[in-house]
Formats: sequence, structure tokens, C-alpha cells
Amino acid sequence: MTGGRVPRWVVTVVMLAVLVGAGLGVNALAVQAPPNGPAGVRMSLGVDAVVHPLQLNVSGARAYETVLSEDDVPLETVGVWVLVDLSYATTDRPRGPGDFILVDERGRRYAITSRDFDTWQASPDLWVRGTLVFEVPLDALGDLTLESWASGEGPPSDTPLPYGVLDLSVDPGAIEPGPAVISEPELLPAGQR
Amino acid sequence: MSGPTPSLPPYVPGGGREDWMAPAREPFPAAPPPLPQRRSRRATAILAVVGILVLGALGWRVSAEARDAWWNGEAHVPVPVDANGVAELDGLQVELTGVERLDDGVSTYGDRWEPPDGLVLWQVGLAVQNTNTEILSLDVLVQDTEGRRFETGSEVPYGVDGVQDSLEVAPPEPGDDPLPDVQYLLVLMPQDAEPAAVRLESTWSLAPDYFRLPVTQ
Repeated sequence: MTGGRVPRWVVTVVMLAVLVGAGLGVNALAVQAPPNGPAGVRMSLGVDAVVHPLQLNVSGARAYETVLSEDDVPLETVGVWVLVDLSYATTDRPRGPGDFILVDERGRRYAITSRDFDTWQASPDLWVRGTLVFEVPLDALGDLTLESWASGEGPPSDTPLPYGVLDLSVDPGAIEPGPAVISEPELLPAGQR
Repeated sequence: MSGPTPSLPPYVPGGGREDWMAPAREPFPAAPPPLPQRRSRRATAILAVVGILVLGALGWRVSAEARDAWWNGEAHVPVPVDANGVAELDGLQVELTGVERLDDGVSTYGDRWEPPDGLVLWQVGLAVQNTNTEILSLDVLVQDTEGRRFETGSEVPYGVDGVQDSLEVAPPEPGDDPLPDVQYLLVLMPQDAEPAAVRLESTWSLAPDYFRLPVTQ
């Protein structure tokens, strides 16, 4: 065979095809993948994870029909209370932990309840253990995902900010009547979580 | 109007087709002399510089809001400290009198308080004089040699004799007591943290300026 030169129109068509294909591919990725996907940090139960500027360690989740408010008043719900036990610290300076969001299998997203409880401030390498309280419908139980948005920007952010993702399982058949007592956040000795 | 069709040479079977169909060949024109290599490199360099400038200008324009927020809201311009360790800005004068490690814990409301294992309690002494009525409070943080910052008054006990929960900065009203000569604050840090500086910051009344008082041993 002789190695003839490729015609210019063939080169042009191939280049155009590559450009159009790349554009379509990027569009498909932008539609299918969350904008912050590449910065997601997969976490595991009981294992320290760094989602800069936050370090956190989630020990588990449980469900209750009733919880006690800070004033020892039972808080009722038409759904169920999901309590997530965890400890966290920061990496650089004192700050809040940002947002925690619980996502159910249908993609419904739940923020921490605003009825009585909140997160707490954290400092570098000073770990504090406490409990996050979510109020969700009964059919949300099962396989859940906890997202930790340390930046506080949340999913609407266009900037690829780091966030943590943890798979949690809460058995709908294991809802305890309660009332659950939410302990005050506790400063931990070094090395404890 | 077209002229008469030029007559083709008679077709000869077996003869060369090209000789019959091809127009008269003309010699290729001579190739132009190559551009000087120096000019080509200069054009490439100019193109690269222009590209960088365009990208930089776009980035500068797009980041205007973020830069403005950071510049005005973040403490990043340290106030100069004189040879005596005193820093002054707009009528507010501060001096670090000492940073002391409290290995024995502290007494709070009659009880002994010791930090959890692996954590260390420190006491910071600051002398403050202020005539600026727009600066009423400051956050006091201890920065360690690794750059970590720990806020005084956080995760430490209240009600410790001789120790304040926060730094008093507001100028006293006429008839009020003057600010204490030295104010003491507590800060909790991990065992491996070595204090390097004490920072006094305020997003609302001081930023982008802040006080950075080095810890001298």
C-alpha cells in the first residue's frame, strides 16, 4: 500500500466530529453528574474523614417516635425522628460544621430539624461528639445518605466544593418509641471519637 | 462568447491517456522563501502573552465579587508591632503580656477543672487601651506553629477567678472603671500545639486589619 496523504476535507470533518462529540459528552456529564461530584468524599461509619475544613466521624443512626426537647418536652412528629451520632473537629480554625443533609432513596432531602436542636461550633483537632436530629416521613427510612457540606454552600453551589457522603441504613422496623434524650455536645479526650 | 474549441490531438489506441487529455504542463512556481524563524517565534510568544492577558482579564473580572468580599471581610493585614511589642490602630492599643500553660487546671465555682486527656489549657494575658468608640469587641485567637487557630473562651470553664470570658475592648463611659491593666483569657489546644501568635480580629470593625502579636518565649 502506498501511504497517500489524507485529504483536507477528511481532516476537517474528523476534527468537527471530535469537537461536536466532546461538546455532547461534556453536556451529558453536566446533566447527569452533580456539579460537585468530583469533590465528593466517600465516608465510612466509624472512620475519620476529612472534608476540608471539617473532620468528622459518624458512628451510626437510629430512629425514634419521640424526642425530648432541651426543655424536656416530648416532641411529637407525624413522621419519625432520625438521630445521627457523630463527632467532628475542624482542620484550621474555629467554625461551624456547615450543613448536614439526609437523603432518602427517592432523592428527597432533609435538613436538620429547626424545632429545637442545632449543630455546634468546632475547633481544629478538638473533637466534640453530639447528635444531629432529622425529622423525616416514615417512608423515608431504609437506605439513607448523609451529606456533609462543610462549606455551608450546599448543592446549589456552582463551585466544586468538597462534601462528604455516607451511606446509612435505618431499619423501618426498628423504630424505638423513645422519647430519645439528646445529650449536650461533649468535648472528647484526644484520640476518642 | 466562447471561441472555437481547440482541436484535440487524434486518439491513438494504446497511447498514453495523459498525453491526450492533460493540458499542457507548466512548471510549478518556485516556493516562497521560508519566513525567518525569529519572526515565527516572536509571533508565537506574542500570541501566548495575549492569551494569558485575556484569560487574566476575564478571571479578574469574574472574581471581582469574591475578591471584594475576601479583601474586606478577612483579617489579612497585620497591624505593625513596635519594638516594645505594642501594636496600635485608630486609637486601639494592644500588647501581649504573656502566654502561660496551665498544667494544673483551674478552679471554677469551687471545683477543680482539668482539660480532657491530650488537651492543654493555656492562659493569655493582654493589655488593652482603647479610645475608639467604633471598636467594641474583638475575637481573640491563638495561632500555633502549624497555623491552626484556637479561639479563647471556647470549650473552657466559666467563672474562673481573675480570668475573663471575653476581651473587654469598649472604651469605658465617663464614671466607669477603666479597662483592666491586663486581661486574662483561657484557650484550649491539643497537646501538640505550640502557641506562635495571638490574633485579635473583628470582621465588622477591624477587617481587613488585625492584630498579630508574636509569642516570645
